[in-house]
Amino acid sequence: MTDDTLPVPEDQPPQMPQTTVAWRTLLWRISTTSISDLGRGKSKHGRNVDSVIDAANLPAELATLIQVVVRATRLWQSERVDVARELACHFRDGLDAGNAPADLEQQFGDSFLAARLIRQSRIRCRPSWWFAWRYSKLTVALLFLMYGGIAARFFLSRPTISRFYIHEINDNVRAVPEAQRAWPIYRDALKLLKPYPKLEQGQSQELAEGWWATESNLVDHDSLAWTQMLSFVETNRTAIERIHEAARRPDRGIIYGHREDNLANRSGDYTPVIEVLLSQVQEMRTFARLLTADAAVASAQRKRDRLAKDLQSLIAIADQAHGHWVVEDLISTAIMQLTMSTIRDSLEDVPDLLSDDQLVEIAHRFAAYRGGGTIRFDLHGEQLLLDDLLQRCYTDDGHGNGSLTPEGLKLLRKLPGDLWGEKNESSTKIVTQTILAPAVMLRSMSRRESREIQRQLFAEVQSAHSGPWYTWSTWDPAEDFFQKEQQRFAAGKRPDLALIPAFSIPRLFFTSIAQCNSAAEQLCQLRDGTLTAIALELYHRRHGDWAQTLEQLVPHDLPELPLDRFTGQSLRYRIQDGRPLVYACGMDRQDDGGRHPNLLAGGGIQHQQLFTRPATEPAPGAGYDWVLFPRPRRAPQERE
Amino acid sequence: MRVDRELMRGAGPVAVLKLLESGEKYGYELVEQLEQRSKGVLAMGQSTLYPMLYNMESQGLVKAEWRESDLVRGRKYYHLTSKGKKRLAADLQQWAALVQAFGSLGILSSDANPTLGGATP
Repeated sequence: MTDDTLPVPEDQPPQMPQTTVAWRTLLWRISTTSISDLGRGKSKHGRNVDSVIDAANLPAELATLIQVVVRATRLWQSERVDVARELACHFRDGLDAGNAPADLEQQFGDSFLAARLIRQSRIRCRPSWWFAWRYSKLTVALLFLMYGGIAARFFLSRPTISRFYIHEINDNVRAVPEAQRAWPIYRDALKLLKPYPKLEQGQSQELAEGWWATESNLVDHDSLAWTQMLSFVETNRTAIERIHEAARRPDRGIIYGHREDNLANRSGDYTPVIEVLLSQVQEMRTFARLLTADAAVASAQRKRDRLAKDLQSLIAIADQAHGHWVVEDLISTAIMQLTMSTIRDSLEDVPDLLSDDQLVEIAHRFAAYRGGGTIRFDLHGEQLLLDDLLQRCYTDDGHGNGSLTPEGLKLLRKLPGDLWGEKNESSTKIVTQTILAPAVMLRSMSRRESREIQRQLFAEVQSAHSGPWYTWSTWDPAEDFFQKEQQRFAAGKRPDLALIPAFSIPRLFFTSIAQCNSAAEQLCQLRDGTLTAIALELYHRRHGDWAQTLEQLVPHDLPELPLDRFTGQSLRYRIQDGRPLVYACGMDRQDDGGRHPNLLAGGGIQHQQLFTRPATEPAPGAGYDWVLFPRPRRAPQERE
Repeated sequence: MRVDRELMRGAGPVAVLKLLESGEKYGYELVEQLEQRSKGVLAMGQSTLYPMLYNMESQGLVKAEWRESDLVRGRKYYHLTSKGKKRLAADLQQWAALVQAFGSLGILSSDANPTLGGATP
């Protein structure tokens, strides 16, 4: 269709340049065309509806009718001009045929209906790009609307906190009679505790860092350090007695976040599990170190009952320290290791000090610690922590499911984890992330899915490391699980972000689960080595000579042969320089003749490598064994 | 007699296509011929005709063209396209079948002529 012809009334010439050349110049066309029509590639070169109607020289009522209809169509300017021109021509023809204006107006019909129909039909004539643009706009608007709805749902959602786990745990503690709770007495002991004396200039820094507790009986008994430790122990005699009293209590009695414990800076039963500080149990390690020092003094001064009492209390404190969380279990494990170190030193330095009955009783308590056998951290507290975090992140539909909330996303952002990237981000990035947050919610795991994955994770980790070292098929089952799930999610076209609710929380503690299980394995190996040392001493007392083989200890002194947890065979044993030597092979699984790393000449690292992940060749700890008895120690002269 | 709006919706386009079969026409001409040749039965106002023409144009059945007239003003002429011709042929067949069916039911008399302009499909 062309619109080059223009109705030109004789009495009203259009405003245009004088020359034909000027009339057709592009500049003129552009200058007289609206921007909207230019944008559509249309040029009306100076015409508008009014000029077209005027040019037709129609009666007023017909001119008004055209104006009303054309205006009501709300079409593009060029389309309106076209319609107006056609209608004007139509009326002009009608008038020329002798029709009265009123008749033509009546024949026209309903002007607004006409406008609507004309609009609909003219729009159908528009180019395809216009429809593409229109539907694109509609689609975008619809998407925005949908996203707005999703965003509103997301930003208005709130987590449903239905359980207060700390409150439940504390309620169980409060149900125990006050007279059976240990912690109130420990709290008193803590108040009575005097600090370790200030070190003299030049004194070994190791003493200040707690070596006095673990290797105190190696200190030269004429040295200033030993004198200071004696003074320290005696100064704290009252506190030590209180600790013994507390250790005899059957229940630990720690109320998390108790306001009287200024150690715990958070108070209240309704604190999120993740924010509860376990400072009380940290203090139990301090008590254990003090008792270890007291045991060293008792051993040096050959005070049998005092040593036995210290050992019994140490085991009791280790039992009490064992609680809900891995951190508590690790502290409990550390206290047990201190205790086992103390008795092994005692068996080596003053073998005849403890009586048979005392040794047997201590051995039975060692064997009964955490039920005996393979000791594992049950991760009960961590499961509570995850459940608590889930309920603080998700809504609850009443059937165990729900969606991620803004509060949850904010909480997850606070947690460590490489899935989130940098923590210190620009405000622009934060705004972007806020805008994208509803999309994250859409793609992230549901509450049920997150919980299910966490349950699987717990089950797989516990299953993979349920046995001794030599049965482990993987060092880090949690990381294996994470990678497997990430691959599964990638295959399902779900982004890493979707994994955040389920993964960022467990990664808090599962990244070190192998180390935790390894620590538990070390404790099992130490326990078996210590029990073997006690059994050897009891055998020696009965027979006046050392057993030639470990088999001779079974079943009178040991129920079964002690296990080398690295190899699955029995512990290695031989008599060396008239003294028994008990050892395990270490991670290289090779018998190196009971050669323990020299703790002075970088042997500390090699000692650690005995328990390190066997990922390199040669295996870490190669060439060395883990000597369990006598305990590898630095000689006093080496310490200087 | 005027035809009901719903009936007109089906009959109007066929009538317009049929008129255009004989040659290009402008709007007023179509209105006049529809009224005169159908004796007012198919008369339609501009409010009906022009949207119908625009619709047919959008479907590619007709093509419009502004042309100078001897009256010193432009007129927009409509003519059938090949697609329009095909549509007309198809519509006429359907109308013939319809008339035949109506005839067999006694709704229409046997001498009823369904065509405008006397051409029978």
